[in-house]
Amino acid sequence: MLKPEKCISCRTCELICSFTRAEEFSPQLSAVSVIHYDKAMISVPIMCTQCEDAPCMRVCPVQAIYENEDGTKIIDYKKCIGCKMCISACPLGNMAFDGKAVFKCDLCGGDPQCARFCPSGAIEYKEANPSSLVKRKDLAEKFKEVFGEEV
Amino acid sequence: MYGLIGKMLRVNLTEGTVAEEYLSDVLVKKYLGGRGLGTKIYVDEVDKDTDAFAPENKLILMTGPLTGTFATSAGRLMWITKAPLTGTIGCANSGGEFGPELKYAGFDGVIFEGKSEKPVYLYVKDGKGELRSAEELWGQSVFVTTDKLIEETDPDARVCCIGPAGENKVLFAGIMNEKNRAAGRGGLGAVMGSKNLKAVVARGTGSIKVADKEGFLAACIDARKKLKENPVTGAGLGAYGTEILVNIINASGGLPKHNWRDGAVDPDADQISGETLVEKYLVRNKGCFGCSMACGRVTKIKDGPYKSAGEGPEYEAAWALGSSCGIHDLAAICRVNFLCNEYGMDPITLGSTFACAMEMFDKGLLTKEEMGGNLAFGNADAIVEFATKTALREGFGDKLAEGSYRMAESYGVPELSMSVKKQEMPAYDGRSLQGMGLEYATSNRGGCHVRGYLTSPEILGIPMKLDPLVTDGKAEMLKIFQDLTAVVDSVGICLFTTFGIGLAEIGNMVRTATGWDMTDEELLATGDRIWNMEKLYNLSQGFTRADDNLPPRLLTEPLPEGPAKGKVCELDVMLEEYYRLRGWNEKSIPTKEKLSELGL
Amino acid sequence: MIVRYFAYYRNDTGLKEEKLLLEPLTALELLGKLSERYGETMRKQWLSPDGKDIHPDVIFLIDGRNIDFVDGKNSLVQKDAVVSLFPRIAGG
Repeated sequence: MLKPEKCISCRTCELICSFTRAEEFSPQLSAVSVIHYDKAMISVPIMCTQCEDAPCMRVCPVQAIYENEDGTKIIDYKKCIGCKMCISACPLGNMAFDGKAVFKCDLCGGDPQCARFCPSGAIEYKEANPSSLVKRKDLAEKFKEVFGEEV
Repeated sequence: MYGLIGKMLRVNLTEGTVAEEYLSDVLVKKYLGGRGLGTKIYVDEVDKDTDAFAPENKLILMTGPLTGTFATSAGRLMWITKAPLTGTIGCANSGGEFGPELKYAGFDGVIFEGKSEKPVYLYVKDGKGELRSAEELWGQSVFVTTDKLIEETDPDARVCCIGPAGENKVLFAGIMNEKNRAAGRGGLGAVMGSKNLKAVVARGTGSIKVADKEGFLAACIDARKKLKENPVTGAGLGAYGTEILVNIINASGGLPKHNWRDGAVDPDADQISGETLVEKYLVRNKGCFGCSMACGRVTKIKDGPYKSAGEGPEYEAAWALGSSCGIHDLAAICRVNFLCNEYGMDPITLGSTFACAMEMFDKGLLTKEEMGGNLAFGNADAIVEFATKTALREGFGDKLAEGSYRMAESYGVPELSMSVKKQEMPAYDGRSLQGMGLEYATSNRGGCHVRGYLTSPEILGIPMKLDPLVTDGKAEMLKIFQDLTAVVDSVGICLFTTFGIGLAEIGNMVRTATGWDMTDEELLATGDRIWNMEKLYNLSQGFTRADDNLPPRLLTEPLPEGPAKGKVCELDVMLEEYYRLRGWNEKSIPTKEKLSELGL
Repeated sequence: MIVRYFAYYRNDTGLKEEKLLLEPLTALELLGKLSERYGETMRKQWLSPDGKDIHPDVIFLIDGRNIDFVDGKNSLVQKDAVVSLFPRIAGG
């Protein structure tokens, strides 16, 4: 779950992702990238959105991308031939190539490290709730504060 | 090599050449990187009689072994050269993202020598360095320069550059990166300008490796956890930024007013405080590379005469342009701070120089005609106007650009410059914070607070509580702080981490990153070595015990009010003890035993 | 006496400053009284769980002097004193 308004632009997510994946520090090897907008004064962390109908999965000629029980799209490196069609297919730029293989966010097997170490809560890993409900609750809170009875 | 890449670039601006060099393992282990290694290279290679602006002078950019890794707040880099403002060794630290990007590009640092005939910039990309023309950029602001260079080189490049202040050799011009991060003090930007070097651009897709992967990860996780749990680093700094200090320093009777002339209690301090900034103008906070504290301020003044946006101000800038100038319009202070970033100029020296001129004006030593304006205490419009004039050396700005000491001296009143070794003291009155008085007098780069930040124990009670009004124990604590700070500045992490972690955590991160077999004591001793190396250089420049001094105002004018009422800074007693603990003689010269102990 | 609140103590109490008419009392006693007024959230921030000590994250100044260097929690706050309360946060 992304809350870009909380992003402090520190790129800790990129550091820990790169180290978790490749045991080295390099934003180039990270599956998450922080995009910074100077004039708009905001930064946005971007990683694979685990599309419901994933183009990368559909385009792969050897069916090397599969979906696990959590809905995460994972690359099976035993099958992957490195054709990089998935990179072209992803409309969001979330498939990358690290010089040896294609890679994407795989949610670290269920314990995403970016969320673990994000200092501000801009990246959070939560149960798959429809996110609109969470945001609706945030808004409802404000009405409660203003119009509700003192608790 | 682990942690560090092990490679430097040597750029000869006269010849127009760029060459690769390897770092020596021996040297690296003895001086760590950053401030230590950069200073070592500088003192070894540059003849002591070289003028700061001479082509023979060198300008060194150096990161540390932890820069660009998962270590706590590990985004720091250091610039080293002879400081034009003071003539001491000049060493200015900056955060942001440039340091890590340079390492990802394959280099730990760059040595700039000579002088280019025409304005140039260095572009470092993935293992290669290239000098390119910066003629079109000369005269452009830091913001425009940064944007244009990113366009010209790579959308993900990071840029270090000078603005018009550096080009005009303002003696307190800084070197900026990511537009708003500053290696601010001492005028290092002027040295860069004197070499016709406009910028350094880095773009790197490489990586940094550590020696003990599991160990390093564990050390970093432990240190990050401690920072998170600490109220200062885990909440306070991010929420309020450094300006949170305004009210507490003021309440403690330590916020100097009107060029330190009218005591150190400012009844209007709250108007320029961190709380007020959050209330009125803060958009959000921001962090440097890999930093969880995120004390940066993203600020917007939406309307009014000072409508503007940018980053900052920090505590020191807010005080220098605020209380010291008798100004409490936070919007005006923000505006000038943004101008300082845009022009590439140190707001601490700028504000203090303004304050000095304002006192001189009060005394009738300066007139409105001569200044070409009304630089008087409380005049917010004037500091906006004169910020530009100073950066561009226009009219009276030309005198202001020399800093308060040279300006005041030219009128026969050097004692009105609130400086030590010609660098203006920052925002803590040494009469109410005795330890800070000692720090200003002994800092190797002149009036500076960061080299030995005793404000932390004296006011915040971190890591232990020291009574600000007494002299006992200050010398001992200061030496430890100065040595530890030298280590922090050399390994590439932010000094503010030390509000929450200490030598042990830093030692763990350094050892596991580099693979060096070094105890915590040995690491701290390295800080001592670096401090003494800097001192030896200053001695070679003719600085003596007499220069480890404070302006007469702090020694002879007691504070008129507040908890420190009646106090002056009792420097002498602290200084004697300090020299003894440092292993220096009464002339502040390190003894032979001390030097041999440190391997110098 | 005057009590001044800083940083997030301002958010929690809703005040920057207030005037109180009290007889001289100790620093600990004053925080006890203020905790009664402002409730549990403040009590947790200002006092130890058993209420016998001031919370270590509080910086308590009486007329600019930190109570650590006067008499700790037993430091006397006079009728005309100015008390400044800060959470332990920092700068640079």
